[in-house]
Amino acid sequence: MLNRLVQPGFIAFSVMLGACSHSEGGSSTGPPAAGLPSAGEISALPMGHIAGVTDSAALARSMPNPYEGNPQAVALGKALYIKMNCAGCHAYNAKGNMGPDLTDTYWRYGGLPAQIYSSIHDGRAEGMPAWGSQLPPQEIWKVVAYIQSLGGTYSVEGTARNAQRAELIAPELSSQRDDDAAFVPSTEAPPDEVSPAAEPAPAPMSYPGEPPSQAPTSSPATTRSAGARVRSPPTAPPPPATPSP
Amino acid sequence: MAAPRKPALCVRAAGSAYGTTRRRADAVSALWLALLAYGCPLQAADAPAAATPAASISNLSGATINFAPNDPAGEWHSQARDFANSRYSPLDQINIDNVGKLRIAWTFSDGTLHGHEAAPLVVGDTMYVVTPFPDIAYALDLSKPGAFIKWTYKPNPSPLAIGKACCDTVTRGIVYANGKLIYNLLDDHTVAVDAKTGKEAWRIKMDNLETGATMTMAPFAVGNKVFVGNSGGEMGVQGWIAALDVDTGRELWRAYSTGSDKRVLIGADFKPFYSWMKGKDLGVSTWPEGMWRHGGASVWGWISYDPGTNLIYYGTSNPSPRVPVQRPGYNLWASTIFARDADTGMARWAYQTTPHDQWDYDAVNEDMLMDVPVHGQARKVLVHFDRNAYAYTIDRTSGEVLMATPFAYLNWSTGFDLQAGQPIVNPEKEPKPGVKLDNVCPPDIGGKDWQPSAASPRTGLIYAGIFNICMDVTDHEQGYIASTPYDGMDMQRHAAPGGNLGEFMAWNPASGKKVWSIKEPFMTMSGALATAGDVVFYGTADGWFRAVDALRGSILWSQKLASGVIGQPISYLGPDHRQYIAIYSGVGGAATVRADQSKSGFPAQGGTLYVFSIDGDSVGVQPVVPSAGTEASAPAASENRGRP
Repeated sequence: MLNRLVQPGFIAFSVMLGACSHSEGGSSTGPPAAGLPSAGEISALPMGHIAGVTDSAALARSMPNPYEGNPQAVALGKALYIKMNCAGCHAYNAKGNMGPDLTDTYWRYGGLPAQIYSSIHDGRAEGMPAWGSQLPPQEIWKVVAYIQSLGGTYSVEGTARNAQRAELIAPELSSQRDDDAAFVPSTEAPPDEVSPAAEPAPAPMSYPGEPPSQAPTSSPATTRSAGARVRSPPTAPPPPATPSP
Repeated sequence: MAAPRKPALCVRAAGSAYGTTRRRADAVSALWLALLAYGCPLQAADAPAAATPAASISNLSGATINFAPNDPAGEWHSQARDFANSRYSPLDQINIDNVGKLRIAWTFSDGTLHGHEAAPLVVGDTMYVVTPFPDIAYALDLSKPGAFIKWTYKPNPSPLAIGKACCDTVTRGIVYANGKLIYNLLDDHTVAVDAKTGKEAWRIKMDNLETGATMTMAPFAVGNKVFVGNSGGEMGVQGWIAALDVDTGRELWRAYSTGSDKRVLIGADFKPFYSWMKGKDLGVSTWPEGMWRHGGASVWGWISYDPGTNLIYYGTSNPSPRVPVQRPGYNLWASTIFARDADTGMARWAYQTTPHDQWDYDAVNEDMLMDVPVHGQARKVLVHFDRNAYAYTIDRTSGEVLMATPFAYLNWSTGFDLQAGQPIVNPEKEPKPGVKLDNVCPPDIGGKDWQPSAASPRTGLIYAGIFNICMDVTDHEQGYIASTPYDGMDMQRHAAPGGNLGEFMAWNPASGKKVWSIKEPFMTMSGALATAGDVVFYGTADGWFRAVDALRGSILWSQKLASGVIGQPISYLGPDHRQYIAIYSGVGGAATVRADQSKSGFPAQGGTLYVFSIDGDSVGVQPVVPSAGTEASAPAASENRGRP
């Protein structure tokens, strides 16, 4: 029964592959399969508890989409998006129908390239089919490249930057990231140290890589103090910054 | 609650002032909008005309309706209330004179969002409702203040079904039969629940999610049989209808909509009226090789039944894929109305409303059974407002089309060939792959979708929410991949000429003409309710619930509800012998899927049942001023009533 069901999919897929290899005309669309993230790496990626943001800078950095921004790969990804009936659920403009909007920056299962890859490869519980049995990894990455081109995804760099910022703001959490106890609101640390975002900043936030609003340079030391400023209560003087290296 | 009262009363007055001339619907709705905006400037100047006594009303078409199975007047046992699908309540406490005093009696949130398309049922002193996915059923005790929850039944269907439902995770409701509540789960099971205890009596798997099939239609019961069908015309499923035994769920027969005559249950008794539907195995030969296997033609709409002939009537969905160049041929039996023997399932006749459908014009809309004089001759007919925007009056004994006239704006067809029994296709509106075709009317959801009409034996008219919508469409050729959309229609909807998306109309089935209509800025995708009080009810996608004079089309009362209304209103008699009106608020369905929600004012989701009565009185809620006949109580006294 199952074979009979998936067979037409394989037929469509063979047709599609033919079309793809034809238009690739010498495969200049990106790195070979060997350059792709391994299945183990992908499965190690956290699902993303806040709409796809991971606080693991290292993991996020390790898995950019090798096809990201490659115009040919994006075009092939778009062709696959239509041929494999993605458009039937997510709409031809990818703004969602039966399936969710892929352009709105809201991701139930994570908006990093590797998380989107996982959603396509493994499927999801509310109706998303698992395409891993029908599409080889490089084709899925091209679909991811197309989805990335629509602007609703999270970039690896931005996520890494955020993760770095989280590390700077709340080093206690980042250093104990693998310790479950660290995720429980800590009674040892004052609230203003574990949840910096809860307090409004008295001045605009500054981020690593951006010119800080008050500090003259963007040296690591300055950035740290900018992070420390965020968690300060508006009326209190900045507490001594004690970041761990 | 103070704010809605004055405008409601005012509109009643203003509406009456327009008398009974035809086609003043524009004026009425414009006036209504003006009153909404400016309060009630006309009340003093235009005093209400004397109310027409209900008894003097005249039947404009001569139509009569068989109300079998003749359930108790105050109860509502199936979605359409009767076999004929009339959605007519014989209750008349609420009438054109007092409907302006309708107030909320109580409300009930069922804890779910998404499209609420089902009508509640009332059996004895209990109301039964079912939610969209996860398809929870509640029993509410109407004899207790605030409708106490008697029991809750949670069937826990598979969440995989969510992503297979083309048009939101809806259900169109329950049927009550032999002490059981029977309904379909989105994940392809039919369940029966003991109405007294809320315990599951049986659960039968009817189809496979792996094929993309879901189930959303409301089962229809006749005697000890219950009829169910599948959804999935956008997923390349094989459509079917089946009859199950009410007591055990045992499958008695199943008729597929495509394939060989054997699969479709076509035999020697099959006598379609038109020659182009005669022949062997047309469910195979009117498709390219093998494509009938994924041809759609699901059965997700309404079923009606004629006790005189023992025939059931229902329609099938669009053919799959929605790209017509991939499937040259008539694509039988998609977009087709079937008449079948209720006991054997054998087809008696069929009529394809849209041969080789190119625009997603399903034929699943309700078939209203009535007896009407047509061209001076009494005929047993079914009246069917098709998605393709033609209103069909069909001889239900033979399948002959007696009348076919447009009820909504259309341009896909240039006319109707009554001799051949076929609409004439406008070649300029035939989609071609990769070519954007602008302004095709009506769009995929049609001149009217599944939202069922109602009929009154007092006026002889049929009442229906219809659409005034077109689409810009680009087809993309599609490969079949199991459990994904077999679709290919890239489409944007927009308003047809006039700018309004919705309209509520009264239709004369004898003349094939609109009698009056009310234009609505948003879609009118709710069911209609007609009552013996000569008031008809409907709701709008932006959340207005309205009462209308059945004969004149004037809006007598309106109430804004929390979310949009795409449910089906009903009327019942409470244990306190008081007449109530009930309607779900909870926008969704095709009103939100594949639709432009950018129009300002489009509501958010919801899931609340509203129950109305005169002055909002209900069981266990004592008014401060005793009700001394609602007609006599002065508005001022009514205003001062305290309510919890």
